[in-house]
Amino acid sequence: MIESLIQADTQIIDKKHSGKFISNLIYDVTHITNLLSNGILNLFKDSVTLIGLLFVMFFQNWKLALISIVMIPLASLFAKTLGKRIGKVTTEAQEKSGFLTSYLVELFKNHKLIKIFQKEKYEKNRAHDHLNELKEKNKKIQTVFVRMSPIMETLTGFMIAILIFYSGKLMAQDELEINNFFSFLAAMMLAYQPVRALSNLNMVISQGLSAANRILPIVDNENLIQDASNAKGLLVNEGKIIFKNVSFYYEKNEDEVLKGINLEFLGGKMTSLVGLSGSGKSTILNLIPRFYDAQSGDIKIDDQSIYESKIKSLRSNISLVSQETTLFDDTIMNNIRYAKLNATDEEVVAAARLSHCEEFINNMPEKYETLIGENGVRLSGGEKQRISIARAMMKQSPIILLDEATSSLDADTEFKIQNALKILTENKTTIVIAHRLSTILNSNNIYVIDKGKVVADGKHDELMIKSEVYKNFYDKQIQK
Amino acid sequence: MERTKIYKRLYHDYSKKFLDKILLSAFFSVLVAGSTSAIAWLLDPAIKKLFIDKDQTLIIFIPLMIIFAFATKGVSLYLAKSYMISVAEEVK
Repeated sequence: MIESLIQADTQIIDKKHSGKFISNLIYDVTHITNLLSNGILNLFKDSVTLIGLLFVMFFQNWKLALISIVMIPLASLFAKTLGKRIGKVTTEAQEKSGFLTSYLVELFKNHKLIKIFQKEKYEKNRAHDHLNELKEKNKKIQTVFVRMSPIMETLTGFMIAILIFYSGKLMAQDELEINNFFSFLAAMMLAYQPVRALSNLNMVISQGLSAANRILPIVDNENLIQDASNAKGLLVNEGKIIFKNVSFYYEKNEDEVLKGINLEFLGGKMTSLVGLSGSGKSTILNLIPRFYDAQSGDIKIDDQSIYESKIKSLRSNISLVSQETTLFDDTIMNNIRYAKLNATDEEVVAAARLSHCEEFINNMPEKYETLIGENGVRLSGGEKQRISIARAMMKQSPIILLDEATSSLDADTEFKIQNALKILTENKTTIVIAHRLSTILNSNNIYVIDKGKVVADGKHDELMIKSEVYKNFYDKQIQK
Repeated sequence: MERTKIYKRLYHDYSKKFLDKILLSAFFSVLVAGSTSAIAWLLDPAIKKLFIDKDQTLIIFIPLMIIFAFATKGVSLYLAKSYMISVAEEVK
């Protein structure tokens, strides 16, 4: 399942809360492994034991044996009813477990927000609500499991009572010997254990099957974004990217985010995308590495359609430095090396030096071996950005997609980041969602995007004269 | 932390408030034990009177007592487990 999730389309991951996937991985997978390990073993062991004991019972007295096996269909009937119930309650419990896990993920992520708004009590109540719902479902599951005990015990009591009654009658008529009776009784009492176990097993199977019912669609989910049958390896020379009549929407019932857009990004040059939030700039970046596929139009890199190129070769030519820096809870060395796992320590140090990371890394107690915590919690915003730039440098790809951070940093850090970005993007095809004047001024071309369309393009000075949208954006949004 | 300290902490912080349910569960567990022993105990007159002496006077009574013992065991087991399940879930 993890493999399926790693390879899943971005759209599939985006649609569901990460907590629900975690719940699937923990809750459902446990039920399935329980079914496949204990379930199958017990099914085989108990079935064979039951068959052997039934043979002994029929061998000793077929009439008594016939009376005794009445219990098996009765037990199966109860087990089937409870099995259905357990399947339904397990599904409900998994749903609640998903809600709780999603809630917990958000609780940890937003703990500072909770503190500053003093919502501890409110969150405690919400946590209690989620927990209580899950507790109720868990209680139900376990209660359904133990509900089999009184049924099976009473059935056993009835069968032994009938056996004793009927055997007493047979013995009084000298039709049954005491040795046959004891052998039969021993076989029957031993046979009830596998019958009970098999009845419980039915519930384990129902639990496992309902879990599999939720997991298998995730595992079987066929990626919509995959290599075309005639896909070829992408060869990037100049690095020129062209968008031709590209239209895109995230959901069928939603408006188009990009409406037949035409763009041209010159190879080895920097092009900026500017526009208000929600205008479609990030979508343009997401279409290039095929995180999403456009519904119509084509995107070409050096005259090769990205839809006819192998995804692996396409993505190997692209680096992404996003606004929200994503780092792993690992050492600095491993975080930078993530782009090129076989890189030597010297290569990592060189990238760190170029991106102005070395100065703060050397001040750390373990230097490159310092663990940075979850998403680099032990680093400042500027330090995290520089590590992500160093990571992108390691990839040495000819195309750079850059979503510039909107937050301001101190002048010194800002200078270092701009310097690192300059080295990273030098002679590379760079598409940047720009928020800084320096970036805009360094751009070879600027596209002004508004409501999924290109409303103007050109250099900064030209746009200030000819585009009202750009002028408005420049006045309000650009950090000068 | 020492084991005894952990036990004490678990008892004081989590189990003590459910003592009534725990005691009820213990009571039903005693019933489970009693009814299980009763089943074995009932086999003695069943074998001696019905099978050796071939005396038919207890042929209805003993099977009824066996049904009663098994039913008591089943219901007690269910109640004992249900109470403990509810305690375990409340502790979460």
